[in-house]
Amino acid sequence: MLFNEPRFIAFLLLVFSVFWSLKSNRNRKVFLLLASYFFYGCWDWRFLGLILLSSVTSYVASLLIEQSEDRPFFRSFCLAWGIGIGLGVLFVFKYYNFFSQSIADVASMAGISVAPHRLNVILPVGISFFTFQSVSYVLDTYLHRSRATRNIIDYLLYVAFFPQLVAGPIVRATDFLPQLSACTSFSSVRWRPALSLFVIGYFKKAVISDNIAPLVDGFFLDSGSFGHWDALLAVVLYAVQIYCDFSGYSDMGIAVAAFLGYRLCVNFDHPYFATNVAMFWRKWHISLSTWLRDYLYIPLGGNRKGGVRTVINLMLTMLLGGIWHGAAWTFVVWGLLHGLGLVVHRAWVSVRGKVVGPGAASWFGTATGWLLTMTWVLLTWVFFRSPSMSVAIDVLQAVLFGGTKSRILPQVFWLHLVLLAILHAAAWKQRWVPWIESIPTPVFLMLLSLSVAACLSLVPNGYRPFIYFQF
Amino acid sequence: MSPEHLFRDEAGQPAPSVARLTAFAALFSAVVVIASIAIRTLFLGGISYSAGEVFSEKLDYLSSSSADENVYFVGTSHIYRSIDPQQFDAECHDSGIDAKSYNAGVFRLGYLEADLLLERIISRVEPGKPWLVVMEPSLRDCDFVNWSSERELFTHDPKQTVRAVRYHWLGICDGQSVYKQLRHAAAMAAHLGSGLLYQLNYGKASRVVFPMGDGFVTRSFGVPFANGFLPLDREERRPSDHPPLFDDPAKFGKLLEVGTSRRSKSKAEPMRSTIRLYEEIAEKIETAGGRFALITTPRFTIGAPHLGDDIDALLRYPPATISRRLLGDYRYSPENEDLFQARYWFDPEHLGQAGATAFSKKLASDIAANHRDILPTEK
Repeated sequence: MLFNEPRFIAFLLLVFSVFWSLKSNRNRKVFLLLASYFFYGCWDWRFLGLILLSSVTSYVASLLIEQSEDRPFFRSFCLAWGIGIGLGVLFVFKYYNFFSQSIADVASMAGISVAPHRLNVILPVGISFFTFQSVSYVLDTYLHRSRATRNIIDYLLYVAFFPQLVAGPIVRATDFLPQLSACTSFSSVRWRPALSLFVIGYFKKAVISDNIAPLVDGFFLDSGSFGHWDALLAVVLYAVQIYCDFSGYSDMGIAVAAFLGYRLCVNFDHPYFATNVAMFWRKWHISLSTWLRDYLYIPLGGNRKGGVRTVINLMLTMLLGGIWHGAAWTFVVWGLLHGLGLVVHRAWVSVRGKVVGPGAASWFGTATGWLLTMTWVLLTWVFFRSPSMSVAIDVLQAVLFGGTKSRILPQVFWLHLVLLAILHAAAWKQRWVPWIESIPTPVFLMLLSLSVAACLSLVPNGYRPFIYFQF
Repeated sequence: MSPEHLFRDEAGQPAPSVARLTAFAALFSAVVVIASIAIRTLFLGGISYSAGEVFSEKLDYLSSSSADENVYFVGTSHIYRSIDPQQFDAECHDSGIDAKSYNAGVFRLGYLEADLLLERIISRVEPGKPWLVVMEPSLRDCDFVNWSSERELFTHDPKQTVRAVRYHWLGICDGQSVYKQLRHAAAMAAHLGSGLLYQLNYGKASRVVFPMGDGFVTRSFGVPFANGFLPLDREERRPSDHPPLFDDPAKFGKLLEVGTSRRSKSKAEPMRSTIRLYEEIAEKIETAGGRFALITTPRFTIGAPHLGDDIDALLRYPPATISRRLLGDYRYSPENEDLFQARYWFDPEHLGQAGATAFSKKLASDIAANHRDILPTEK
């Protein structure tokens, strides 16, 4: 079940009605847990066992870690067990075939013929997200950042809470579990911004991303047939598609959680207005970038161990960030390119004062920074989207030199890009939440209804799963 | 907008009452419907839903060309991929029967869609000339997978909605099993939901505002040949990760073993709703001067178990209003073993070209031998 499917609305209305009609906090949590498992089971009920395995293992491991302060070896064993099961399941389902194939390829290059062993498995939706949540919980307990909860319902709900279950944001236990200790209050929710956020997310995902997707798919299947400008348009459209797809999902997830009285963390903050790569990563998939920072970059030493180690740590963090997205060399290159961008930016920051002098950046500097950042980000998206390295190279060739020009993209999409950019900039600069709260209820009702009616007529028939489901 | 904007610092205002919430939801729904009607009237007047590949081509064919045919095969992909009209006609000709057939099968054909095809057939046949419609009793209900598809929205009109609700209500009232009742309830809900989406112009403006241009179709089920038939192994655009079953005899053997062991032994009584559905179809065709017959195409597992039950139950119906129209039951049985050879099968559900040829010939010769009166005789 996808957030942009009409049947999800029916599911949400049912969950919403039952949830708020229950008075006891415990009953609400049990109901939400069952609803979340039903939501996940609608995709494939067989993988409910995986979530349960991952959840119960990390729950038990954290309790044992907390109860064995005086037995350091046992604590470490529990940590390894708690993390190992989750990561092991993730490895089997997501990475086994990739590593098996890669080993066979390397052996083949060395002249040794090895048939790769392949597992006939499909990737469970959202496995990377719920695994990272479980891993961070065990690590937080081990590092004394938080206490392990004894309430198994709370913990199972933390992992399986349906608004964030299949594509994030990656929620921290320290943020979510305290919210479960008391009944959420209906009157604490600001309904107008929450409803608006849901409609905005739906518009981004179902209208913009899903309508762009067929063009982008067609281009990446046959990039050599397009001219230089069409290739550039297609790459920019993909950047729009993935942003609208993922941030639209996050908006809807955050809004749905708010409908039930729960806060989820922000996941996007207008990343395409970033003027450097470091800023981009503070605005793009924030819950993942902070997770990588807190559980990988900083434990590796961060920037505290000298320049060379900082470079290595940055590259390693972004490499693993790339692999988190998928088991393919294109994701490895994507991660490494972002790592390289961060390293170059870091080097620039250290010499900037000597080159352009102290003080705030001029408009020229800001514009140049934005242009360079966007160019780099677009370049990396080519690798991210391409199914193989050879396709990525074909696409880059088409962008730089143009193809046969036997096919063209509808040019009206240039106009759509301009309109979307204006809309996006307006949303970034305007403080529209107070405005929404201030308008009379009939006006709000009218605007919301018109927006919904317009969105429904613009949705393409046929669903497209969220891009980030595959991660 | 930050998630913090979605909450008040303190629960300052009292929670709205259920009555107020309900009123808000009702008003919101009403305004959405009114706004949709306004959008349709002002901007979307000339835009209609598409029936999609194959289905729209067959509707167009049946609407436009002259009525050369006197036998029409209507059904799902089992008909579309399994009956080769050329082979059928040739075999009939050899038996002295003047048949010219058309394969009006469409993958996942629903009963409302079948109705549209039948209307086209009825309006094109020449009065006074004999004609025959052969169907397989396995038409699809509306479901929550396809309820918002363009093809589903294409079939909507108020008359059909009344018919669908009546059909599913009868199914719910039959009380034969909770499973079947739930199936009908879900189908009715999906159909009504689909009708609502139709009223809300679901997806109608998408192609106008976001034109795809030529060559950006990402999914295709193949364009049929002139006689409406296209076997899967002649499908140019079929996915490469779909290797034919006839290339894998070992897999076929396993399938045969498992599939045949699952042959339905159902003792279920037929549902009144299903009988009524096919009685209505028969009535419609026979009132228009045609003849109506049923077949079941070759299958291993008889489709989903419930489908096998339905077909079995339907064919056992005592008054024989349906079963007397049965021309042949070609699901797996010792008598039909000749059709269950590895080289005939493209996938576990469908025959390939060789299988379709064998089946079409067998069907024609069986009809010629046992039901000769139902087909037009050689001039």
